Amino acid sequence: MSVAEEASGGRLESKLKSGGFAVTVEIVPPKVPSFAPMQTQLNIIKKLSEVIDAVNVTDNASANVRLSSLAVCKHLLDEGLEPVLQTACRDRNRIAMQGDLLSALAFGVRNFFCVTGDYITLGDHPMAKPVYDVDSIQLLQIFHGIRTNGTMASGVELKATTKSDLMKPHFLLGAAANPFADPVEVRVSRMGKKQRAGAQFIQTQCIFDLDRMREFMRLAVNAGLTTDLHVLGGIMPVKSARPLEFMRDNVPGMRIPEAVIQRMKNAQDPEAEGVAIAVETIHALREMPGISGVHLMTVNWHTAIEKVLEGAGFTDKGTG
Amino acid sequence: MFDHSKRKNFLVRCFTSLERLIKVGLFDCSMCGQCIVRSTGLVCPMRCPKQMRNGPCGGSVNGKCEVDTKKACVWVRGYERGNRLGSGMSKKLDWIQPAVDWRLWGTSAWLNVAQKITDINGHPMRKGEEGDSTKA
Repeated sequence: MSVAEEASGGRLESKLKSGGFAVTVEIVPPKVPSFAPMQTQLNIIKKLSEVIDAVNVTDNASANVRLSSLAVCKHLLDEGLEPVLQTACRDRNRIAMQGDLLSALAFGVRNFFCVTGDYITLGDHPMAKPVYDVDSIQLLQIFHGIRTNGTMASGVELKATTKSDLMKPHFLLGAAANPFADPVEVRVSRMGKKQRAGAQFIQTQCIFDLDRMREFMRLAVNAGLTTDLHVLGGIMPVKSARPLEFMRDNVPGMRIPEAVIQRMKNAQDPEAEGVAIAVETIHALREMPGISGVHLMTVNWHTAIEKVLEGAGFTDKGTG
Repeated sequence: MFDHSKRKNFLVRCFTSLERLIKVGLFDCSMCGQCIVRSTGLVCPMRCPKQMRNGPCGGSVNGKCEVDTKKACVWVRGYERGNRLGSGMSKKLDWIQPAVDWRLWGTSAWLNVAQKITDINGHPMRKGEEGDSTKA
């Protein structure tokens, strides 16, 4: 299966296709009926819009109720930013997810990111009914069918009326990979499945274990996956050792070496050390074969976006 | 989930119960009606809380499930057993399994193969279904 030939017209796609080093930032929508809590982060992103290619909006992240990804993506478009719409298979069936894809395309969203989603019991409504009508790979296939054949999962064609022309929307498809889950060979083969299903870019889980990341990328490059697939390394700057210990114990699929936690504990200025670790990781990723960019996840520490990108040399001229 | 076997005739229900008895014992089967254990290392993927049919999610670490960290990830077991069973089985692990046809939930997978509702690999053949994606 090949990826869609025509371009989506988005900035992220042109950056990846031109061989540049892409930078994306993650937004976790607020838990209240207002866009206002995101404004600080949006202002920082807008200030750095020369460097940041796209903004990834999570879909009820960690199974917690939040503003919908679609609504926040529309808000980002209005603010002049390029959104990536995340879709989690946990909360909706194939009818709702295809409906959201069409709605987002109508608004002008050109990047989509398919995940299966953390399990419901890990979130704030553990009593809810999990959906999982399809998994992330099957969702990629369905979305890929919409853009290559103009047909939905059922085979129904994208036509306004029976006499209208068939529509084949163009968009970029992404998926997640976790190099730190076990076993590493299965992780590479699963990333290969995602590519065959239609994924063009990959965001990895937060990278703290660089040795494991190198091993994963070596296997992926050897398997020939990185010629068509653009891998963005996940970067999460932290303020202290505490969130690291919390993530190690509570967030599924995280691998944080003891050495990194000790380094944060011993640091004179933990915030500066957190930024330094993120910057070092970005430098290491730039040297790693098969890496096409980074994806910044700063949770609530928005000023770190600027510090990390500055430290990694993105805000100077001649980057990319 | 609506159990579609409930609207079948008595003989079909008897046969379905027999299949249920055997497969629940062997695989902790959920009677999805489109059995793919022959391609998943003889481990039923519907035992996964997310019912992942295409490999383990990103939450499985040290071979354990993200939902219940005391339990083994069904896919880690599937890959281990599949690779032990030879290269034919490991190749099948690399297939992309199509989306589930939930109309078959609760019905007999064996009868569905016999009636050409699914193929031998458990992939639905009815209209309103994506093509065979295993040959990608």
